[in-house]
Amino acid sequence: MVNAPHKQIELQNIEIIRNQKTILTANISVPLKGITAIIGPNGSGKTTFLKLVHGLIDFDSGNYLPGADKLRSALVLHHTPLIRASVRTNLAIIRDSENIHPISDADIDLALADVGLLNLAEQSALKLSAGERQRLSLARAKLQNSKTILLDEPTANLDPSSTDQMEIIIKKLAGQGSSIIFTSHNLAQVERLANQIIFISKGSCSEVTDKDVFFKNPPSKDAESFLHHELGWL
Amino acid sequence: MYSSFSDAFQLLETLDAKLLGIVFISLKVSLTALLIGSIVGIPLGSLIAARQFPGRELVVIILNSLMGVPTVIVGVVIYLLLSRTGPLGDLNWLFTTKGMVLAQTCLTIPLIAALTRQIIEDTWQIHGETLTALRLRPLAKIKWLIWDARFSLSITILAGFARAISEVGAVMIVGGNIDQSTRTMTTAIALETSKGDLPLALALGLVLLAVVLFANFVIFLIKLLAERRYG
Repeated sequence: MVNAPHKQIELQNIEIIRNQKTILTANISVPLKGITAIIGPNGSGKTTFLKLVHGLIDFDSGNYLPGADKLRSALVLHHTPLIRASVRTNLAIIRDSENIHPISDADIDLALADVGLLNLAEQSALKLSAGERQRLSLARAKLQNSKTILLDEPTANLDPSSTDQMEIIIKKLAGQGSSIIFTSHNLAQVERLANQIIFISKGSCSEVTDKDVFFKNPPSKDAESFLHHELGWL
Repeated sequence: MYSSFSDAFQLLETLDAKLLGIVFISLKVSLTALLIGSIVGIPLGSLIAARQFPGRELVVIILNSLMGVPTVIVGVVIYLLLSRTGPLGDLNWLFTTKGMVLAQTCLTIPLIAALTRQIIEDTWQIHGETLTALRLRPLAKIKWLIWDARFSLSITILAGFARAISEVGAVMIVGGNIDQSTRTMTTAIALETSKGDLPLALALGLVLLAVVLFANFVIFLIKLLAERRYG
């Protein structure tokens, strides 16, 4: 595997096949900067894309070049079950990760404070609301000190207030130099957060497109049709 | 029959030394076997649950089958291993509490491991992907799976204790039911009943029931408090 010269990940003719069916094809370079949104219909392969980038699933053909440095991403899945323990313990789990830097109690407190959960540190994590659980997952991602954070529908099923809080944290992480790649069905949110967009339809990835360009001139008929159905403005 | 019960309660009230001695040996042997069985069985069951390896299904079938092996069979096998001409004969553990602990440990390990395997497999279904996504080390994954399922696993420990404290076949064969040495509650109950000394048998039976009830109560209390604390 040859390292890519730029700060980007490259998926070269990647193909993922499950049960004799191609579920994702990708030939794309994703710059690791700012916030990238992955959009597309249900079942199009958005979560598969994130899992592929994170190394959680293998591909069947093609090349995956995870950037100049070996990509050490953090992945927050849409449904993140928590361990039956305190909020603090659920964060301290990260200490058992492979190749992790030393994490002090102060680091954990800081990560909890960053997402507004320090006052709930000793509470059972299972008693957290959906929004608090997502914030805890973000704190865990931040604590992993990853430059690339992958979020699978981070605000799905959250109320507007929790969604706002999550978006603030996501922007803050991006502002601190992390590149964020997230999936979403909420196009208004995509417009608020994203710098660039990847459209996935029927397991096929489009090129990375600037957000404004994407909304003004969708890169494909499928993307245009998707926007039309989702927004009704085209 | 009423006089037997009356005499049995008198033995309990007076804290009869012979009775207490038998209870002490029983608890010492069974709790030691339970401790070793848990230390070996829980990680073993967890490993089988969370790791994929060739022949895993066969291992699961064997483990499940071993749960139901008659205690006398285990007793005979351990007897043969510990007998003077057996491979472990040099240990001189036959007719000692050490031999009894070994026999009961062999009974508790498969039971605890098999039940643990099922519980941890269910827990893996819930947490497996997340723990993998967090890039936890393989042993750390198992550690956190056990930690998450710890209250459910208390049932496996209880089952192991019940298996050990209530069995009679293995300790009878390996221990020899020697007075003040290897006589446990169950072997004493069998012996005293056959001799017609019902008060001692009844008194030991009541203690045995009380011990099992107490263990259940403790586990129930721990689960209740834990669920209130951690949900």
